[in-house]
Amino acid sequence: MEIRDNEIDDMGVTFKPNSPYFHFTEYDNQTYKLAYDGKNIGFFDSIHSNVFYTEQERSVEGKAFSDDQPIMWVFCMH
Amino acid sequence: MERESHDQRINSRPDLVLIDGDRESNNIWRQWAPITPIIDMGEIERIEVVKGPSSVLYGTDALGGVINIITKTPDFALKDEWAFNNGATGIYSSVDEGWYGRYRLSGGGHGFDFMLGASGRDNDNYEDGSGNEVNNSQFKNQAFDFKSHYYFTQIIL
Repeated sequence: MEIRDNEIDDMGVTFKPNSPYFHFTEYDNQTYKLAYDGKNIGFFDSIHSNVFYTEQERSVEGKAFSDDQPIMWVFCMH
Repeated sequence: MERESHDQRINSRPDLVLIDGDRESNNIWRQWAPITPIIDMGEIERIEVVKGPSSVLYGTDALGGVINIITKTPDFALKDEWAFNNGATGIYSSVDEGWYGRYRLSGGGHGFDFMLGASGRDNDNYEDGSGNEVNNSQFKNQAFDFKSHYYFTQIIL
């Protein structure tokens, strides 16, 4: 049996040089795992079963693009 | 591992991330950097990397390779007496004025064992080689993990 909980309160992302700010304010991950190993069980020499459940919550906050190096968008219509 | 970018895949192709051989979080991680949100680094025993297409053995997503994260596991269940072990780790890094702390308690005997761990990390923006602060490189998290085994029958070695 295994339980794992990893909770991130603040994780910056180096998105682009000089971008004002960009970070995850939440990046939580919970995992629950249950495994069974059996040997010499009737017809079977070996049995392995494994079940797990993973849950994740993410939220991000930021201004992704740089004022110094803005992205230029070009739209073409045909 | 924390700073791995989206473009640093093995052979520039999607790679499969496993934890103890299971694709626990691969579908929700989906190649997002970093790998660390899904596990605390203090819980890791070793990381095995298979480079190159491995889908024949590991299934879908293993186009660039496979990263298998092996976690630490308790080893007390086969002992005939109760035993316990604990330990603490503390790390300070000056480049980002960061600290990391982890406490681990493990023990067991008579067919049962367990391992309990808790950790915390707080890192500010780090400085590059020129002494300039790299924006948005901070990291702060807490982690908790529990692992246990139980043998229903006595194992004779």
